[in-house]
Amino acid sequence: MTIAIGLEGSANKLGVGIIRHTPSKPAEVLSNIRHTFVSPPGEGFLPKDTAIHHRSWVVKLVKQALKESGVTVAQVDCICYTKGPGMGAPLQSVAVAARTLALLWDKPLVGVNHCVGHIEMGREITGADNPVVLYVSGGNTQVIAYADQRYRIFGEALDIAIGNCLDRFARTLNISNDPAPGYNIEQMAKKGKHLIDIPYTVKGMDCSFSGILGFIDAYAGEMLSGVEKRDPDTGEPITPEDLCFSLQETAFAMLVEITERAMAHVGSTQVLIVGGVGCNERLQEMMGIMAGDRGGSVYATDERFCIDNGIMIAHAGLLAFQTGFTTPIDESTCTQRFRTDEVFVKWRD
Amino acid sequence: MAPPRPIDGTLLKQGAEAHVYKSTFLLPTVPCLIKVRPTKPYRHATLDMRLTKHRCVSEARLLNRCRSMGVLCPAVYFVDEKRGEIIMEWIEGPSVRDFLHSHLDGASDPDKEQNSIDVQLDSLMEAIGQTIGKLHDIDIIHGDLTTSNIMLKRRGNSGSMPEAQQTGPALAITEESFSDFDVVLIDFGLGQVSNSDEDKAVDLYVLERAFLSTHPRATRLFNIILDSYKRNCLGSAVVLRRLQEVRLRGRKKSMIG
Amino acid sequence: MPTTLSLPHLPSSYRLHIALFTSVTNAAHLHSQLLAKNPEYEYAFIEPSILVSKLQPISACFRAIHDLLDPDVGLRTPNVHSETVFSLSPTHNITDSYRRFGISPSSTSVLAIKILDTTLPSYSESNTLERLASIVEGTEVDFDTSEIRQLADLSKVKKYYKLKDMGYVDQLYRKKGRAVVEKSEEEVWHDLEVAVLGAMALRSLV
Repeated sequence: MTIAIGLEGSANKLGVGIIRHTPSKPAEVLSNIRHTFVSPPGEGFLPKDTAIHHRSWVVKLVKQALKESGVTVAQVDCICYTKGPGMGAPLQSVAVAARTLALLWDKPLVGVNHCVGHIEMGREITGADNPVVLYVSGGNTQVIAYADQRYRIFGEALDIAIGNCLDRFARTLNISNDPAPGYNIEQMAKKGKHLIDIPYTVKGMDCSFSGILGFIDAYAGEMLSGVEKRDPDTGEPITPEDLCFSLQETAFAMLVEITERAMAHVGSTQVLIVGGVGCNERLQEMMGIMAGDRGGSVYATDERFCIDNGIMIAHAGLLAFQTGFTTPIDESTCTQRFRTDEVFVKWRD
Repeated sequence: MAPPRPIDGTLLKQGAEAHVYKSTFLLPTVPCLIKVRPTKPYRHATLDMRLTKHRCVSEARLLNRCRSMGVLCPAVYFVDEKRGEIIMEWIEGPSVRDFLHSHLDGASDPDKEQNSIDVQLDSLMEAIGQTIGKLHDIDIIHGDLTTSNIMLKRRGNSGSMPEAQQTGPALAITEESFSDFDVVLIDFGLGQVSNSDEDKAVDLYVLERAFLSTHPRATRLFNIILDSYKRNCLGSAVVLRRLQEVRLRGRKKSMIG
Repeated sequence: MPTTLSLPHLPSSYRLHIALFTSVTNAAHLHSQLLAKNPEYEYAFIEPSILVSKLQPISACFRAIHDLLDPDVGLRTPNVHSETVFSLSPTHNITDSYRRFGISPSSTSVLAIKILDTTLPSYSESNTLERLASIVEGTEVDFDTSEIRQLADLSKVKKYYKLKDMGYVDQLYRKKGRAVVEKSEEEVWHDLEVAVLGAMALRSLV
């Protein structure tokens, strides 16, 4: 039986989680708490402010996580932290916290790849054994499949990530960042009904969102400046809800398409969606229809695990720790760039 | 969108995007391939119709343009864009993907001196680079250059149909007959006409990633393709410079979590 | 002997009867009967000099019958025979298509095609063939690609099907002093054939 504490802070969420692995039993989430830095509408989160947020909350969150888990410091086997990828300043603030705990408690450190954390937690929670993974968040859009002890990237967004596209569109429309811009777009999209023609860019297993963002930003900008837009078929006015609806329908269709291509390529029928955008129920629904048509199914998690969290870092870190992996203090750096396929996945066959 | 109808032919492949049948066109002696894009129920019906029709029409136009301007690809025989169907020339031969697997799996030690198969493989890669160079010189972007979308066609059945058209099972390529094959590009569903160096560079980048994931020994082979592209394609210098940038961008992309 | 065919992907009851004639003497009469819309002369009378292979007119028949039977499409000309002549065209201009691909009063060779639904009670194969053999006054020759090639007027074919870009990349490379692999005569004919079939197939998309 081993226990790990995980610290995550690569973007605007600070998460702390504690997990227990017992041989031949599912992993147990002993605690999983999070605090989000929410910026005002129309603004993104800046690295400096986000780092300040993380520094001021980390001690409180660690204490609370320990308390909720009922675990004592002595029972913890290792301290896992996000090594990257992510925003520099927030990553550093959390790495410093992890290092401090390691020295204070005299525990080994384990640096974890954020993306691998998402994938491993998704597999653990859903029971998806060997799925094609769609990893969709504010910073990443990747279609991943496992082969030869690596999570290989089959397709990705060639420019901006899907989450970034949604966040920036929310800023144009002054949609609230609380609890998350993507969540608010999703709610508005449910009320949309007119599909406007948006650029659809898929290149092989890759896709591109900058064209979409440019188009819909310009379109929304015209609307906000008073130009009235109408649906060509019904003559009804186009609403901000229609824009959210059209953006989701188009962008998600692209994501499902590249995922399906990857599934056909590797011959898999399972698909796992991870990352913040993976919470979106419309994306999950579309993916489910596609996977169903291929005789398979979609696996997705709820916001506790989809959105950045500490437990996934604890879980993936503990998997590596159990194979003998640790990160010496003098190598316990963090890095903005850390590709998913750089990690040697020793714990899988 | 018009309703689908049953296709008279043998279903060969139910791919991610299209169903592919083998059949005959006009005469029993003219084999053909029928490509049908089924509706995708996961996407909005309007978007689905728009994409299906657009891709069918765009693929037919690109195939026609490509073939007629002198880059080998299947000729278009018939288009029913309302049903997303294209009837096209049958290409007899293996894909480069299958071909590489059959020739590289369990092949000789890569460190050893090149054997005759390797030398002939090199000439095949040379031909692939030349073909992609031609494609880009006529400003066509394939959009999905993978090893499955490059085929090797037995030469000598290109006479007027139906008299000279040969049908029959695909013959395995033996080492002494590599030069009897033409490189044929298929599947232009994601293609476009463009003279942009960026688009051409991304085309090569897609091929590079496809090649490297096809076979561990494919790195050397891909370099031969690039080298041949460099020497043959008139606009290669700028495109290859651009390719460097595209690669770099690819690696940088995981900057933020 | 006329050629009789039914086509894959279409109901087998639809049958094509095709005959090729040279040294034709009654083209002016045939043409006038077409203009007069005489039902006795409802045939596709095609000018062979715009043909490069036997697949080309058969493909036009395929398009015509396909559109006839497709409720979403339908014919754009009075009947399946005029539609066959129109279907040889790479454009939507019907008048031009008759003029370019149909016979003229001065035609000296004629490709005659009769398309019939054999399930109709009036259908008689022997009557159809007899009439087809006699309606055109001239010498019937085999309907095959080698005969058609002899009658082809390539400059007209290239003009009507807008094939000036054919082999563009080789021309470009030659201009830049690059070595280009020469094609055999057979390959050149084949390239021409598929270019024409492609131009016809893409008409609906223009």
